[in-house]
Amino acid sequence: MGIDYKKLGVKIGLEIHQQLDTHKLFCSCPSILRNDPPDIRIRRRLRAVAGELGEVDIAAKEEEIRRKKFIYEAYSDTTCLVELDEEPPHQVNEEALAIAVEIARMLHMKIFDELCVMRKVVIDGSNVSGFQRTMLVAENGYIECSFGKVRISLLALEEEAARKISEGEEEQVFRLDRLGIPLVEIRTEPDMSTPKEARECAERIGLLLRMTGKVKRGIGTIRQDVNVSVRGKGRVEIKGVQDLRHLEKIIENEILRQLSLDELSQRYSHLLRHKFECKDISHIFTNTKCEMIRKTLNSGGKVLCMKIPDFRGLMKWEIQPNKRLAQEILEYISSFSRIKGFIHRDELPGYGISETEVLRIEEHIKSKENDNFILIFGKEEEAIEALRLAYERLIELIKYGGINEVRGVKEDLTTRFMRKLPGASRMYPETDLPPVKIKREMLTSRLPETPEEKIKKFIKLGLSPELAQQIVRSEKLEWFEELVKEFKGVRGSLIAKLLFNSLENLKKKGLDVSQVRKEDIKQLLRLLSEDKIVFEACELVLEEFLKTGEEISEIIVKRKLTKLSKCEVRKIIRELFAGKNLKELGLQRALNIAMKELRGRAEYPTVEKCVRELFKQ
Amino acid sequence: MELVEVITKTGKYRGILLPSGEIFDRGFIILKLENGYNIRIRKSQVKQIKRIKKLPQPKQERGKEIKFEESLPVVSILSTGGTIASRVDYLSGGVHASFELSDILATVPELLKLAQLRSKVVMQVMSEDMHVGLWKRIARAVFEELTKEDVDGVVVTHGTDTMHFTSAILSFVLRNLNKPVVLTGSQRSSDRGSSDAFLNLICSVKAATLDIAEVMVCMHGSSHDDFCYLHRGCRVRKMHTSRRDAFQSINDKPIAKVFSDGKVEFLNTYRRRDESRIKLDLKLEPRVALIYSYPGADPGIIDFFIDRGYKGIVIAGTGLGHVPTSFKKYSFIPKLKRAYEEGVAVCITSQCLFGRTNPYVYRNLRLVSMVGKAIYCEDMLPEVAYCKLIYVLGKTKDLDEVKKLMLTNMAGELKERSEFHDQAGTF
Repeated sequence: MGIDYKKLGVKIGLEIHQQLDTHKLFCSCPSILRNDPPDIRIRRRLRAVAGELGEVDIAAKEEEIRRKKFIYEAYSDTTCLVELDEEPPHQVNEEALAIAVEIARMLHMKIFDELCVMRKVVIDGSNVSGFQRTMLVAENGYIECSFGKVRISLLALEEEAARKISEGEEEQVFRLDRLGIPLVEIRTEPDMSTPKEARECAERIGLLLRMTGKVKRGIGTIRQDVNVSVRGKGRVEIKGVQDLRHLEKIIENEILRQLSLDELSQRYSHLLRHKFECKDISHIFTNTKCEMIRKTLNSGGKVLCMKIPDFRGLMKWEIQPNKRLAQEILEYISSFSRIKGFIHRDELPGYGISETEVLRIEEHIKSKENDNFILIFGKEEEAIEALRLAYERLIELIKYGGINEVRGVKEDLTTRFMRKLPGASRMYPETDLPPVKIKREMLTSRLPETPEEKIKKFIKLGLSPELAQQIVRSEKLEWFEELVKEFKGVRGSLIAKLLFNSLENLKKKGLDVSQVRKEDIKQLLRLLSEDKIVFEACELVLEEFLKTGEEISEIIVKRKLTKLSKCEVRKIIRELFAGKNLKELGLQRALNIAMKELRGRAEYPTVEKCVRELFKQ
Repeated sequence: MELVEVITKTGKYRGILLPSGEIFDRGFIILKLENGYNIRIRKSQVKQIKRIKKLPQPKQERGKEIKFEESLPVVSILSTGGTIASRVDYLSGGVHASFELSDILATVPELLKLAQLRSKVVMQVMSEDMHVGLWKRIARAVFEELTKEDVDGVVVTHGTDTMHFTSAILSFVLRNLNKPVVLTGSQRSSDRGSSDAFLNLICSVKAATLDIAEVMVCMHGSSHDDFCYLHRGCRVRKMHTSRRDAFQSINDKPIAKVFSDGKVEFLNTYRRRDESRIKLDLKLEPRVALIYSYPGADPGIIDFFIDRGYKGIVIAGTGLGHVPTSFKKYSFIPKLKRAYEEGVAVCITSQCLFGRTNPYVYRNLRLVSMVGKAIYCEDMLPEVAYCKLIYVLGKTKDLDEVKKLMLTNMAGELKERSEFHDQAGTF
C-alpha cells in the first residue's frame, strides 16, 4: 500500500526501555522473574493525590476512576520491603548507573554532574508506591542511521514496574519480581518519517545497547514506545511494542487511523454543537427478542439512547483495517466502565432487535433518516455514565482526531485507547534520596566497541562480511568473542562456523540446541586445538550429544571420532580400495567414497593426498 | 515561580526555577524541565539566567466551605505535624507540613460519610522533636475539644516516631475520659498514592465515633490496606522503623480492629463513654530520664542525672529488670542507693518489652529492689513508665507514694495477669 509518508508529514519518535543485567536499582534483590508460587500476597489501594505543582494530574485522576484493589505477589527470598513499599529506597545501584552512563556516552550525550531522583506518578497499580523512581542521566545526543542522524533527546535510569499477572473486575494482581529492575529509557526526537526508518533506528539502538554486554536479553527485556504524529498534529504514544518485526505494521496502522479520524474531524464538525442527551427507552423493549436487553431489564437495568444527527453509516466506517469507528468508541467506554451493552443504529436490525423496535426508537428520539443512535444498557447509573463516555469520546474524536493519548498494541497490530497523555506534573522529587553524583571513572572508562568496529574486527579474523554482521546481531556474540580470545589456535572462521552454521544445522534437524552450553563448545575447541579431532567431527559430536545426552568424551570414543594420523588414513584408504579398479572408479568418486568413510576422523586435504598417492601407484 | 532559560558553558536549559533549600543544594541551581525532570546545574557553569515569564501560583481552594451531613457525629481532627500532614514541598525538594481539610477530603472522600469533621492545626512538629512542653499543648488542645458538647471524639495526627509517648502521656493527664481520643499518623508520607495515611484516617475517624472512652493509637494492622488496630494508648509501641504495621500492642491485646468499610471487631475490654466530667491534670515533672542498661554500662549516668536535678529515672533493664550489680566498677547499686537517699525515684522496666519484670528471682534483682529501692514496674513498657513517672512526680515527690502510684493501674498500663500466647513476641 503506497502511503507517501513524507507528503503526509509523518513524524515518528521512539522511547526505548531496556532492562539492565544487574541487581535491582534501589535495593539488593536479584533481578529475576519467577513462576513458582509466591509466598507473599499483599492487598493495597492507591489514590490520586496532588502533585508538586498543586494539581492532580489528569491521567492520574482517570486511573482513580478505575480504582481497584491491587494484589501484590512477592517472594520472601528474592523481594524485600523496598519493593513492598515498606522501607525507603536504598542508595542507587552504582553498577546500573555506570551502565546508563556508558550508554549515554555511546550515544554522544551530555551527561549531568548530579542527578535528581524523581517520582513519576503512576497509579495504575504497577508501582506499589504509586510512583516510578526515575532520574535524568543525560540529554542531547544522536545515533547515526542510514537515512541520517536521529537525535536522542534524553536518557533516564528508572525502575521497572511490577508485572501484571491478572486483571479481574475488582482487583488486579501484580508480581513484584520485576519491580525495581534497572531500566534505561532512551527517547529520540521525532526524526523518523517512515515506519521503516523507525524500525532501523530501533534496531540500531538495540544493537548498541547489547554492545555493553550488560543489558538483559529475551522477551520483555526491551520494549519500545512509539510516538506517531501526522500533519503536524498532536501525537499518539503507542506503548510497549516488544517485537521489532511488528513495529512497521503497527505504525502504519496507527497512521491510517489518524488519517481517517482527521477526515472525520474535518467532515463532521457540525456534531460539536450537539449536546449530550440521554433518553430512557426501556419501555420499547418490554417484549423484545434481544436476549441481552431482556436480561438487563429483568435485573432492573435500563436501556438508554443517544441520537447522533447526520451520522448514519459512520459507526461502521473502517478507520483502519479491521477496525470500525464504533469499536474506537467502545474501547474508550470499556476502559472506564464495566458496561457491556453497546449497540449502534448501523448494526440494526440485529442482535434480536426487530425492525419495529428500531422504528419505535427512531420515532421516540425523533430520529431523521440520516441520523444515527447509540444504545447502552445496564444498571441505570452505569449506563448513564457509559453513554456520557460515548458522547465524550465522539466529540473528542471529532475535535482532535483521536490524538494526544496513550494507546496499547493489540494482537492484530492495531492499537486501543489506554489513557490520555499525561502532563508534566506527574513528576516530583524523590524525597527519600539525596542527589546522585556521577563519578569521574564512569565518564572516563573505556567504552565498548561499536557494532561497526566489531564487524571490522571479525572480517579481519577471516569471516565473511555477512557472517560478521550476523554475529554482531546474534545472542551468541559474547560467546564468540570469548571463544576467539581463549582459543587463539583455532581459526576464528571455524569458531563462527561451529557456533552459527553447525548449531543452525542441528536446529533444522529439530534438535534443542539451547542444551549446548558454552562449556561444551569449549571442550570441542580444546580438542580441536590439541589436534585430537577434526572440525567436521564437532557437529557430529554435538548431534550425538543432543540426541543421547552422553558425555562428549564418551561420544568421541564410542563413535571413533578421534583424529587419525596420516599413516592410519593411508592404511584405511588402502584397505578401502584394495582390489578395486581405480581407473574405472575415477578420482572424484574415489575421493567421495574415502571422505564418506573417514568423515569426522580426517581432514579433506589429508584424505585427498592419500587417495592421490594411491592413484599414482 | 518563574520560567527561565539558563545558559551554561555547554548548553541551554528551559524550565521552572526551583529554590534550592537543602544542604546538598549549595552551589547548584535546580530547574524543573518541561518533561517533568528536575536537573541540577552547577552555579559555576551558569553564564546567564534569562527570565521568560512569571508563572501564576497554582490555585488553592483554601477555606472552602464543606457540607457535611448533619446527622453524622462530630469529630475534631487536631494536627500536630509529622508525615501524615505532609505535602511535597518543591521549595526545599522535601516534604513539608500541610493539613488542609479540603485537601484531605479530596483525597479521602470516604470521610464525608463517617463524620462531620473539624480540623485545627495545633503545631507542626516532627515527633522526634516533642517534649513535655509540647505534650501539654497537645493535651490542652485535646481537652478543649473534648469539653465541647457537640464533639463526639477527637483524632490527633502525629509523627509516628514518638506517637506512643504522646498517647501514653495523654492516657494519664486526661482523667475521667468520656470520649475517644485517637492518635494516628503515617509511615509513608501522604503525598504519595500509596500512603497508609488514608486508611489510618478513615479508621481513626471511625474510631472517634465509637463508644470507647480511651486514648488510643490507630494504625495499620498489617501490611495490607485492609484494617487498622486500635491500640490502647499506654500499651502500644512503634516496633518497626518503616513498615505500615509498625505499631504493636505489647503485653495486651489491641482494643479493636477497624476495617476500611467501617466494620469494627472488638478484641479486648475497654472503657465506654459515660457521664463523667473530664479533667485535665497537667501537673507534670519534666525532670525524668529514660536510660538503657547494657553490658559495660557506666553507672555514673545515674550521678549525672541526680546532679542535674532530675527527680526520676526509668531504667530499661535487661531481662527481668537487671542492671549490673556484681563488679564494683560497674555496679549500679551504690548509685541507686544514692538516688533513693536523695529522693530521686528509680523505676525498672525491661528492654525485652514483652513480659513482666520481677524483683526477686535472682539475688541481683533483690539487690536492686531491696537495697537500691528501685520500683519494679510490672509489665509496663519503658516509654509508658517514663510518661507515667513524669505524671506521678507531678503529684508527689514522696518515694513511697510514688511507688504506690506507679504500681496502681490508671489507664490500662498495668495488668496483674499475663496471658499466654503462641509466640512470645506477639499479642
